[in-house]
Amino acid sequence: MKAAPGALRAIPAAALEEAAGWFANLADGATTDADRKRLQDWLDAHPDHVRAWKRVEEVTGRFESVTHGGQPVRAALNLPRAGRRRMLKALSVLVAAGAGGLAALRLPWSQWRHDMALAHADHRTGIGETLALTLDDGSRAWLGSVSALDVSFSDSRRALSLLQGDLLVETAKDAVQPARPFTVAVRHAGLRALGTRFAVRSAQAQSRLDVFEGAVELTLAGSAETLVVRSGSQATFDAAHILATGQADPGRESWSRGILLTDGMRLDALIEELGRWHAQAMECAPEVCALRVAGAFPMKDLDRILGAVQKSLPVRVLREGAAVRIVAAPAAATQGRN
Amino acid sequence: MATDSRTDAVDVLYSDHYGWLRRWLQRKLGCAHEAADIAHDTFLRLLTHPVETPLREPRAYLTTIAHGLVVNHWRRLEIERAYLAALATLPEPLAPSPEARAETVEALVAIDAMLAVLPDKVRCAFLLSQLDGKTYAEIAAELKVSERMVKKYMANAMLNCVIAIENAAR
Repeated sequence: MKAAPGALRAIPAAALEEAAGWFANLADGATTDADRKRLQDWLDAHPDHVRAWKRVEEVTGRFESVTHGGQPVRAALNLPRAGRRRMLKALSVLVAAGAGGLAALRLPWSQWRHDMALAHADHRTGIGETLALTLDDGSRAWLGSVSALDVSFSDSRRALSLLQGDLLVETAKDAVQPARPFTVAVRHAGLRALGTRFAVRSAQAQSRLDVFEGAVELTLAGSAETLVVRSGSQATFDAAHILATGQADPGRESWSRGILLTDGMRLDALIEELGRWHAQAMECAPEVCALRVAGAFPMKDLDRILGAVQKSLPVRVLREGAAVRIVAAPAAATQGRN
Repeated sequence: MATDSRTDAVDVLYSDHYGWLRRWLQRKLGCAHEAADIAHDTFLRLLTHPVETPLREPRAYLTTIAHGLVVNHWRRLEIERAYLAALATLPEPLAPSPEARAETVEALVAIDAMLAVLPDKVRCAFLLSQLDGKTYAEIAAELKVSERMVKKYMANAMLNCVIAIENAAR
């Protein structure tokens, strides 16, 4: 068909073909930085290459819009049920992509793979939800807001994989003897429980482990560095480094009972935490970020939490539609209210 | 403008043949409502995909287009049914909203159409990769072909898809 006057001329078939070839080179997932560099060089070589690549991304974008659909989507496209998910693979791809830089070029499939793993997770929670689970060995687990967990128990191991979000675990003595190792994989490390109660959060940039009873052995995914975190302690880490250690924070398990504990938490940290549990967009002005909040609140009662913040700190909570913004209170207004 | 004469030609076709086409479709589909919709879409298609007019065999031409639309219509129903049936087996909290469902069905129909021309193995390899995140090694084992063949399938599938999108954009 002829292009309409004024429309861009058609992308040459050769460029489309090369773009499809690049896609096939990269879609296996085991891409290296060198692969991505070569793709970037090809893109830089001609504007038609960029246009052709955009078409590739349109195609992959169509899949992106249904990746959360799970089994029904598969059924509709008349496919056999998916086999065991390749969770660890998906995560390692993400980590590699993160370390490799190349931010300008989005490689959507690594993200879809992650999304796919989330969509197919054995257990998932939405915003503000928690889920209490009793595992086959009698261990208990709680999933926090916007979290996803895979459970894989076999004759030789009790393996959990926290794909994202918050997990609190209370391990039980294994009925099988000798006891099978109890492990939790998170984005940045493998954890091995040594008879214990602990909480772990897996986030994009870093993860955090708080141990309340017993101990957990942590092995970083990138550097294989290990650390045993004992009862009452916490460690914050990414795939390569232990970033911080300190006292365990009771607030990191209280969410399982629906309680937000803000024991001297910075306001920006509180806002971030609330953002995980509530759908509203929330932010605080830079000048009030470092103020600290103390108290225990029902996690779900946003009005009450924000009301308490406004009452106890020199701030004003502004509601703009569904968004929440916390700013410094004018001096007079603060006095007037208190 | 050129579009005016094209619109005029479609107007003539419409007044001469719309009623006939609608009845033809109604016999085929057994539903007056769907028949009217598809007859309407057939003429819409003539406006957006212009052909040389006057047509020598207008009714043959119209029924060819209409037949294609009927096939698409059935395919859409099939996809929608399969999707909704599978959804019905999910626990309540995981069920998407009606809007999200409608969007997903649209996306599925688009994907299905994009993949329609592909041979089974190529289509299957592409979906295993893009929906399941499987590696080429896994896909190769599942389809009993070599990894190199999987890579060829992937390039072939993507090329067909980008061409379909590129043509639709013209």
